[in-house]
Amino acid sequence: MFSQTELSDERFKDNHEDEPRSRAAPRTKTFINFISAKQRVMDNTVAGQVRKRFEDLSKLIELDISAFDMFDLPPVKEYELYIRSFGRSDTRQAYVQTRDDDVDREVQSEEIEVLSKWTQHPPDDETVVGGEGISVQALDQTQEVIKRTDPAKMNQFLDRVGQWLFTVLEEESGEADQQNRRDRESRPTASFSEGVSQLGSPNFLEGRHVLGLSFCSADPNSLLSIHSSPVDDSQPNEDLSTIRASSPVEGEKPAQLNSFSVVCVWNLSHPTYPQRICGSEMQITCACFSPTKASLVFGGMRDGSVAVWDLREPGSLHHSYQLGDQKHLVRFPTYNTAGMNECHQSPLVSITAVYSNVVGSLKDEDMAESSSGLSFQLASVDDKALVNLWVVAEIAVPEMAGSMNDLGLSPGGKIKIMKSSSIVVNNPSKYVSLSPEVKALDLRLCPGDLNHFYVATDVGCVVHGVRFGKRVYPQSHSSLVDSPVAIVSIDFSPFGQPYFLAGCKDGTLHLFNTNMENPVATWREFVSGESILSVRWSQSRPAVFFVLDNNSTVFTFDLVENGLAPIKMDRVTKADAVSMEVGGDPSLISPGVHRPAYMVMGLDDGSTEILTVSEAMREQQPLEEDFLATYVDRY
Amino acid sequence: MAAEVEETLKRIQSHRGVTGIIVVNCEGIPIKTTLDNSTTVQYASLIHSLTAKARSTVRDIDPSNDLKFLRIRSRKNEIMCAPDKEFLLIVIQQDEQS
Repeated sequence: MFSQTELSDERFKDNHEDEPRSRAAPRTKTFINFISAKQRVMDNTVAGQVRKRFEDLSKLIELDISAFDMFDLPPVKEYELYIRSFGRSDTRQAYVQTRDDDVDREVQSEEIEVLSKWTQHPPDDETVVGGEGISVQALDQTQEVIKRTDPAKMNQFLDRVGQWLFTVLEEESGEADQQNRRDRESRPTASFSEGVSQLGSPNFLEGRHVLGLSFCSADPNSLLSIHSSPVDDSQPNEDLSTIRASSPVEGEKPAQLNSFSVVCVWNLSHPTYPQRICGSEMQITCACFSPTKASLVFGGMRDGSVAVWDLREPGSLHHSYQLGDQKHLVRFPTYNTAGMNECHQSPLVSITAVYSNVVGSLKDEDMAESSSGLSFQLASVDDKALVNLWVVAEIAVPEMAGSMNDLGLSPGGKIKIMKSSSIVVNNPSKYVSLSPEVKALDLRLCPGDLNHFYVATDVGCVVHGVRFGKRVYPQSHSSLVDSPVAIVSIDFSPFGQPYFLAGCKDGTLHLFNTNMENPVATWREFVSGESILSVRWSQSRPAVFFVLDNNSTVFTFDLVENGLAPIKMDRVTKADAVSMEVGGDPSLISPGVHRPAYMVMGLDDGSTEILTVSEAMREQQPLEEDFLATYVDRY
Repeated sequence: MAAEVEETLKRIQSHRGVTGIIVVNCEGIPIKTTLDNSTTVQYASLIHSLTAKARSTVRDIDPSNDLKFLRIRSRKNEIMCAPDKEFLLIVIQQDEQS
């Protein structure tokens, strides 16, 4: 029997043994585990010793860090990816060569393509658009061909062929139209003529009167006819400042074709439609061609201005006007003297080119001198007997923008006229007249000597003047009658003879020689009407001339046959004739050409009759020219 | 320049009875026309070859001669051809009477 204490030892041992078995379950009896605690203390002291050692050593030792690459996988290059998939997998790019300055630059956006184009509305002329690459669609073959064709050559071709075609077409229409033929046959032709036809009357000529006609002296196939405007134009108090001759400005109301006064240029081989239509808002009173070629038309207006139309201008510079269902291209003046200070102040009576158109003379040297035939002088006379002389000049380089100094020149115009001198025709003191002022009715230049000009006046005399110089003899020509009779029409012999005819308002006809004041011959009382309207020498025969009276009768005089009375008398039956012109004889102007010679008559219904001169009237009698030259010696 | 060409063509076109105009170049390609495309092409090729044949006929007979104008009159209309070195103008005209 053990004691309590021994029991405690045993119990202590038991506890010690029990502890590892069940340390988790705390026993009710807490026994202090001295052994583990002691063990713990011993561990701590050892750890503490180690720590102390570390602290002592760390002051002496520094530790270094070294890194090692465990694993490196570089990113895959594109090329290698490509080569892996497409190329041969065992190849490697060995060498690449690039330029040093070939810097690769990446731009976000693409380059902008630029093309410049322009357009204009309303279009000024044919070309409405332009610029680079203007036709978006691909040109097909025909368009390429069209671009390649030369328009100038095509123009020439069309001109040439157009002539034949018109002749043929006219033959066609003549044959096809039986009615017309019967009509023509029934209409009697004049005894001096073999055939009669009419100038075409397009719709814009309706309602207009023929104010005058004029042939081109060098080209007998070109005729111009002056037409009044169809509206009532006889208003003397009209405000002339608002009417312009130049091209109408697009204002509130568009200009109507019916408000223009026109000059039509016809080619007598194709009389159905005028070659050119020259228009002006201001009334045209007289007109003439340029002498050597029918490329310019000069017109005198009611307000005293002179206008020049250049027929060579391309049609694109002018506008077309619509009348009814037809469009007509009306050209407006290239040069206009309206607004110039020293010009005429009253309506122009006559305008003529200073050019010697003597039939049969040698023309070659004349043509060679004037290279383009377009530098010549012009003479015009107005109602108050003021004669102005103009010089026609051609501008070498036309300006499309117009001229700043010369306001009369239209943009792109090539012709201008400048006043060179002006002469006032005075009433020679011998003559009594009702008014102190002389009224001029006609102007002619002596073809033999262009310095001399003659003005027919209403005081019964033809005043003779010179362009340069002072005194002339004789100062005037008149008949030996007391009472002054207005001389209405004068005409010089085209064959260079110094004779001219003067027709008077009372129906008397005088033949004057330029050296003598009194007439060489006088014919009275032969007219059927009251007065003479027009007197014209024949361009084919030197001793023949035609007289038109106000009763529409044409008298033919042949001085060789009968010097006292007219040999023929013809009445124009269709309507009353107001003017008459004799065209040049083509066989005399250009020898060897067999074309008809024409005479035209303007009728008061607005139409114009063309009569061909018969062969009998064209063939010269033997020594006819000498006959006229010596005529003066007979009396 | 082009406007004058137009003017001349317009004048021809406005003549009584004219139904159409064609301008053909030396290769037979129509350059200017007032008719529709198919008619133009047909006329151009046919007339071009006919004109060439006519011209060769004239020249075979007399080498110093040359064809100036060719006119084909049919029952319904009339075709007029004016040949040239570089161009050929064809005008088709309706016969008034028939």
